[in-house]
Amino acid sequence: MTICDETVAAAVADISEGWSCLPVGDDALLVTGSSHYADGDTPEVLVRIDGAEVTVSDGGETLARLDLAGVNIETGRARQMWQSLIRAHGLEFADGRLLVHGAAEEVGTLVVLMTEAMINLDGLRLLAPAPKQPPFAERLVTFLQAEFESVEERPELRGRSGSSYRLTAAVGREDRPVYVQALAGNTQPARIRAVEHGFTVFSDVNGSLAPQQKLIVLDGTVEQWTPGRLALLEQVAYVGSWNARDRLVGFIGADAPPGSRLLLDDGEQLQTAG
Amino acid sequence: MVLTDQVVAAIMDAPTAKLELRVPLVWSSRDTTVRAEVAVHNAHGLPLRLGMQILLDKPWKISVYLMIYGGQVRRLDVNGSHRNRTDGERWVRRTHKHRFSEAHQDAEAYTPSDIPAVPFQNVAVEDYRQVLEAFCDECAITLGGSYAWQAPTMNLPAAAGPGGGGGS
Repeated sequence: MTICDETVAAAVADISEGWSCLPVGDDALLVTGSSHYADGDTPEVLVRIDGAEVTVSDGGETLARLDLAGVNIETGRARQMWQSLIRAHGLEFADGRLLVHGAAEEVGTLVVLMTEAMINLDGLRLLAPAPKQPPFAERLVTFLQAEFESVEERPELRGRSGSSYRLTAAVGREDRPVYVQALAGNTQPARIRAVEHGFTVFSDVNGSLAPQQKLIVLDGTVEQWTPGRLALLEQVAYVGSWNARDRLVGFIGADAPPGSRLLLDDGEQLQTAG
Repeated sequence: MVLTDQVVAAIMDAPTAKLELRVPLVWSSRDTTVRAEVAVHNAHGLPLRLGMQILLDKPWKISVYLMIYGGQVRRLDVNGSHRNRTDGERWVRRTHKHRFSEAHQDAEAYTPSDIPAVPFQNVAVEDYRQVLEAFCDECAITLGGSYAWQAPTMNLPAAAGPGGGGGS
């Protein structure tokens, strides 16, 4: 036996050890392959033999994995590569499933073809956009979604001036939501502009909303924000901060509004008047 | 923003992270999958999400995951197949759970405890509830607030063949 024979025999033994099959339902087989995706998972295909015909399907697994990885195959480069690889492997794509048809005696070839295609297509996950630090408004919305069943993103409000505004979220009771505006800024001028925006929005919609339906949430702690300008906000809305998130939850869920319009943590101090 | 060991450690440290599922799942469906994804309360204010995905053609194969910054901190694959490159351990249609690390990304799995078995035939909606809540228990995610089990909106075949449609 040559070293080549031994190497090939070892590879074949390893491959054959991985293959497995389970009948599922009346007419289908679940076949597990011997190759693996990058995360170590193994492609599994569904096989249906109907007389002299066989159909092999990925059962939607490939698209589901890419979807979970954040790849949208309906646009851009991912779409092009998806279509190219499907053509290259001679597959059909229908209703979210990869399919290949052939004669029953070809079942082995078709199953191997499908598992190889699934692994190759799974490589498109590398096209997933790199995750970025979400902006403050997005973090706030995710936070609110974890706390409340009803969270409307970017609700529209119209002011007395006729201007319309997209706020960050509307949260809580659907018949009487709390409108939330996130304010953030990395520099003092940016924070000033953010405050001016928040003040304008909630001044303009004054009268159409009860005070307890207007909430401004500041990124970071209130100490980062100029006290005098926060006094302006306090006149038109309740004001909370990211660092005092529990107070936000309590405020939105409360039946009666708190006395102070500043929703501070015990450790936070702010003098806005005088 | 990338997932790091430090972020994972912060999330999985139950006493400080205080993970809690406070809202019901909201399901959405595509051609071959139904999926729910919800934000998870945590003391760090991290944008953490919990998801559950079911393949309609393989309703016995269920994925439940805890996700942040596009990476999966943990992913439970019920009745899935996997091989660890680290120690060679192999799962064939057997429940395993991926745990993220910077060294191995999501390629390392282990056999989780207390995840109920799901049959390959006649999967019941109750099976999905049990899997989700067992996953939460194992990840120290308490169930509170207005959380209540919400069943997936799907037609469950006893077993499905290629091309969908399912059996009976």
